[in-house]
Formats: sequence, structure tokens, C-alpha cells
Amino acid sequence: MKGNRKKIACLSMGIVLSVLASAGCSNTPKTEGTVTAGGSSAAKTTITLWTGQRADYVIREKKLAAYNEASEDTEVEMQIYTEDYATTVELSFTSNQAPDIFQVVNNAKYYVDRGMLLPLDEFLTESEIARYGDLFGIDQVNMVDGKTYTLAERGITYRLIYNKDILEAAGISAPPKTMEQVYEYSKQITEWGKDQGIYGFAIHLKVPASVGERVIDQVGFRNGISAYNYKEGKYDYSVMKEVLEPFKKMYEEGIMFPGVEGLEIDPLRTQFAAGKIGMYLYGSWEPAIYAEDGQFPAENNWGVCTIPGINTEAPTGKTDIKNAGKSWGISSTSKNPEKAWDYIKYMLSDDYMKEYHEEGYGIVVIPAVAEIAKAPDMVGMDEFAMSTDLDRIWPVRPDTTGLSVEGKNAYDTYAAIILGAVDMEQGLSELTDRYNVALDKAERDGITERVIIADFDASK
Amino acid sequence: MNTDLNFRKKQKRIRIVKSTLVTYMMLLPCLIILVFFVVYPLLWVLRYAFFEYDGFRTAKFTGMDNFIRLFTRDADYWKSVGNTAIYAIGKLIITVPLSFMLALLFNSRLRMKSLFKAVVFMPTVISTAVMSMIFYFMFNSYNGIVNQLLMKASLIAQPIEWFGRDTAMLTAILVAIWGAVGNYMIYFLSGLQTVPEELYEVAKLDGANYFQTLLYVVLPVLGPVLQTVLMLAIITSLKGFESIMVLTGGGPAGATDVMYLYVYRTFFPMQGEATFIPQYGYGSAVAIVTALIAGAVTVVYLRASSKMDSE
Repeated sequence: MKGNRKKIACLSMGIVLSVLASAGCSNTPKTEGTVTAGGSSAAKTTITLWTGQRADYVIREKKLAAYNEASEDTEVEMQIYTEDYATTVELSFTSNQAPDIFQVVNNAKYYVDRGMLLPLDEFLTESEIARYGDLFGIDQVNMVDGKTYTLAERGITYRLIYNKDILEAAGISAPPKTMEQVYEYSKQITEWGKDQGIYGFAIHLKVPASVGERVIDQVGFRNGISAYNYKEGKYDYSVMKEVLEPFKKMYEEGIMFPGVEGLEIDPLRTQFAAGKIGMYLYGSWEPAIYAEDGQFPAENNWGVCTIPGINTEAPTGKTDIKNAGKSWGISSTSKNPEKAWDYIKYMLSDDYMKEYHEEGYGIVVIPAVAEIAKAPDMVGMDEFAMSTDLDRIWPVRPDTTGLSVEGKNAYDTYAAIILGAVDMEQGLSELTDRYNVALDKAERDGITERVIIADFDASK
Repeated sequence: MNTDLNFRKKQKRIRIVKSTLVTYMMLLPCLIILVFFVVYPLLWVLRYAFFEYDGFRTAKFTGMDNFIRLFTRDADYWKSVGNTAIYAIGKLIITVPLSFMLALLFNSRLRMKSLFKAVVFMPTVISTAVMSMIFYFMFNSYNGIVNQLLMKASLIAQPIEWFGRDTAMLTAILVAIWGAVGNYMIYFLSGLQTVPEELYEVAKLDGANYFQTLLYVVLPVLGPVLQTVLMLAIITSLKGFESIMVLTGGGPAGATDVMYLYVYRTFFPMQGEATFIPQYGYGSAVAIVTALIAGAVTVVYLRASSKMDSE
């Protein structure tokens, strides 16, 4: 009897554990959230929103709280993923746990090919479309096969940031206009300030992808140089030699800030704020970072100037306005696309965007908002402001829409070239070969389209 | 009589079936977990190693293409294998003797040894990511505490670039040693505590000094512990990449890229505006070859050590 009871207990425990284990392994079906807000008895539908942007967290959260307070039937939950955001979003689709709304960081084509986005056309009215002017319907960026998947919101511009006090103390009267001057001034600053721990130039080479697209590519674009030849629809990385050379030279000669190989952007910013770095290149996030109530309030006079030219003081190319043309998208798996759209509409509304722009969280590019919003009262914002002479949205390249390349990618190779680990000619030549082979294959397999713009002009 | 025998046989059979059933029911939860989290992923990797697959588009069968690419066109991977060897050897040759020395120290009559033991063991229970982040700041070339201490002690005149191309691997090894030494120290200490006191007394009576006792009495007794520690150290050194990912991300210019970090990046590439596509098919092939390399090293070590045992 006693033995039987033991067996029954063992069997029951086994069954319970099996059930628990299988329950743990199972995919919990995604159900509508029913969060009750503010003690109200009414059930609200939960809309989840994911973003990879941390810098504007304060205003996003404030506006979200106001929306939730006012909404009778919707509760929006925002999650920020600062590490590997793009991968996290993709994995959420494969595990059936995608949010309702997510920040679109790649071109729409990339997500549409993977069935991740819902078209927004059914929600868009004529007046809504008119708000976006030329930024509506940019092929592959926010529109694919005639359908709109995301809308313009804000854009990142790129400039050179410099410490006025350091330049003055080192005997330099004006910021550099050419990359040759960047090298010369950096050398001058390092020679003058090394004993005080002050160096001429810095770059955050621990993250080659960030340096590649936000520094190297931008210097190239400003000078009309792109590794993708839009006229011929081919890659030619040899053109990047003159862009990479000043950086390589500064590293080789010990002019750069010590330890740039292992430097991330935040430690770089802390050293700039502390007055230890003369110059660096980066995007329009910086003014908010160095503001009095920013992440790293600057302890010095600093300024912003345009990205210098290569062998010229008046480059005619234009930097690429990052993220312009794309903002938020509705997941193809969302069970409440109408409610998700309501929140996207709220985020892109004049009031929301005006406040966002005026408080310096980012440069809003929606033409209707740009007309009414005042410039933020912050050091550097005037220089970072979008300008038709300096900035443009570059057409998409095949490698931004899903090109699978063998071996080291272009940005890792750039970093290796700057650090002297890879020979410049050999590294760039191999990149040209590998990217063209990948493009040919992707075109053959129907994965990526070859972009050819016969009359492409980088200055337009 | 026959009926009685049959009845007993039947009863016995029922008992055996019931007992077997209970055993299997008890094993069931573990089996389910094993199938879901070990067998299924393994089969998945084995299958996709022969496909071109990015996680979204339909997988395309490519036969041995992924393996051909790995063996003929991927110099970066083989560089990461070389880096792994340097990392593993560097970690092993310092960690194992150091752990043993610390165990000897804590096995002696030392004041406050429980406190010291806890301090040495502490890194084992600290999160690798947190620990590596702290080391990232400590070894910071510009204002890291390590350089400042060395300069204050006049041991160096200029700051060392701890994450430079020539030094980043050394830094990664130092961090790995710090994280592993406490764990192996505990294994050695438990082994030392099993050495019978009589053996020390006999060695003393035979006139053996401290080092002779250590070499001819203690080490042979500790043989099995040493074998286990070495095996664990080899496997963890070959597999370790978490702290490197935080410290250097495999850089600069691939100087600290190790095998498993390479595998990780083929599955989860760094992404920027230029999209770097996950290569699940190729990653699976790389993962299989990497596992075979790690397995082969372990088998060679086990064979060598068991041969030494038998000799």
C-alpha cells in the first residue's frame, strides 16, 4: 500500500514536471494585453513599441505617459534595446514575439523582403501624405512596389565637432576646412597638449560599423565619393583610399587619442566634454549630449563645422541624412494595426514633433513640422541644422537592402586599414571583388536589385 | 500448480513493467528538455550546414559549399582559430599553476584564510559581462587605473595601450585568468584536503623537503584532480568568448577574434545602416567545424593523460 502510494506520488510528480517542462518550451500565444490603466475598470488593449534609441528616452516616455492617460482603450508599452536592436527585432519575428510597432532602422525593402512590415496605405489620407512633401514615397527607403511602409520623421546630419579652447590655445584660429588641415591641426594640438593629456583627434574604432557609416562614409559623401558607383551599378572601393588616408596617417603617427582601437563613442564623448580631445566627426545627437542637462555636460567652449573637403576647401558633395524617410513601422504580426497606427500618427503629429525638435532631441525632417518648429536653443544645433547645400538623402545601395557578403565587411576592413593590420590597396581591392561577386549572386538569385542611376550627381 | 506459476510470472511482469514505467516517467522531463534544447538544436545545425539560409528567405540547399568556403576562402576564421590557441595556452599556463599555488597557500595554516579564499573565489560568481565591463574601464589606455598605478609606481613612463593590436590579447588573457583562478583553486584545495596526513609524516621521516614532498607525494595523489582541472580549463578556454566580446569585440582588426566569437557573429552580425545579413547556414558549418576542433583537442588531451596514467 505504502509502495503504491510512493509510485503514485512519483508518477504524478513525473507527469506534473513533464507538463511544466512542455509548457515552458511552448510558444505562449500572443494575446491582446488587457492592462487596466490608473485603476480604471475598463480593459485596455496593449500596444508594444520597440526602439533602439536611448538619447530621446525622456521625451518619448513623457509623451507616451500623456497618451496612455488620455486614451480610453489603448495602453502603449515602450521598450528600448540599445544593444543589437536590429538583431533583437529580427529574432522577435522568428520566435513569434514581435512588437506591434518597431523603429525602422534599415530600409523598408529589407523588412518587406522578410515579411516584417504592414503597408500603411489604408491609413493615409491625402492631407497626411501632403505633410511629408518629397520625403513621401522614396523608393525602397519607405516605399516598396508602390506601397508605403514607413514615414519620414527625423534625420541625422554629420559634422566636425571641435573644442574652441584647445584650437585657440594651440594657435589655430579657425576650424579645419580640408582633411589635410584636420591632420595638420591634430598634429599641432597633440604636440602642444600631449603633456597635459590633450590630443588632436579621436575616433571610436571599437565599433567599426559605427565609424564606417557615420565617419568614413560621411567624409566620402561630403566629397562626392561613394564605394558604390551608382552610374555603373558596381562597387569600387579603390575610391575610398583618399578618404581613409588622413585617418591612417593620424593613427600611424600617434596623433590620435590614446587607445582609439578600444574606444567606444561614450568614453570618447566624456573625454571631449572634459577638454581632452581637439576634434572628432559625428552626428547631430551631440548637442543634446553636451548640453547642461545632457549626458555629458561639456566643460569647455566647443563648436561645429561642416565636414572638411579632400584636397579642396569647398567640397560639392553632400553628407547622407541618416534615418530620413523612415521612422516607425507596424509589424506584419500585429493584431491591432489600427491602434498601432493611431500611436504612430500621434508620434508623427505636429505637436509631438515640434516639441521633439525644439527641445533638441533630433532634427525633424517632416516639411510641415520644419516650417513651424523653432531652432533648439543649444550650442551646435544651428550648424547641425539640415541644409540643402550640405545634406541629402543618398539613394539606397544594394548592401543596405540585404546583400550577403563573404568575409570581412567593408567597415571592419576600413578599421583594419586605419590600424595598419591590412594593406590599403589589397584590402580595398578585395572588398571590390567580394562586394561585386555578392551583388552578382544576389541579383541572379533575385534577392537584391542592382541600383543604376545613369545621371547620378553627388552634389544634387 | 501451473496456474499459480503463471499468475506469479504475470505478477512479476506487471511489477517490472510498472517499475520501468515509473523510471521512464521520472526521466521524461529531462528527456523532453534534452530533446528540445540539445537534440533539436543539434539536428538544426547539422541540417542547415548544407543550406544557404538567412533566417527569413527559404533555405536553399547548397551541398558542401559552406564547408568549401570555410576551408578555402575564409582566412579570418582560421586566424580566429590561431587566436583561440594563443588565448587558451596563455590562460592555461598561468591559471593552472597559479590556482595550485593559491590552493597550497589556503591549505596551510594561514590567518583569515576563509576571507582570502572568498576574495579569490568571488570572480567565479560575478557576471562575466559586468566583470569585463569593469576591466574595460580599468585597462582604459587613457585614464584607466592600471596605467595610473603603473605610472605612479614608476614602472612605466608612457601609458600602455592595453587594447592595442599587440596587447589586446594579453589583456583578454589577464581578465580570463582573474575570472578562472578561484574556480580551479577550489578544485585543487578539495584535492589537497584528501591527501592523508600520514603521507606527509612518512615523507618527513624519509627526509624529504617541502618541494620534494610536493613533487613526489602530493602531486601524484592529486593526479585525477589535475586531470579534471586541465580538461575543464582546456574546454572553457576554447569555448570562452563572452569577456572578449565585451572587452574588445574581437578587435582591434581581429586581433582578439576567437573561434566561438566568430561563430556568434555569423549568426548575430553587428548591424548598422549597411545591413550585415545573418548567415545561419554558413554559421552552422562553422559551428560544426569549431565543435570538432574543440572536441579533437579534448580527446587528444584525454588520451595523452590516460596514457600517462597507465604508465
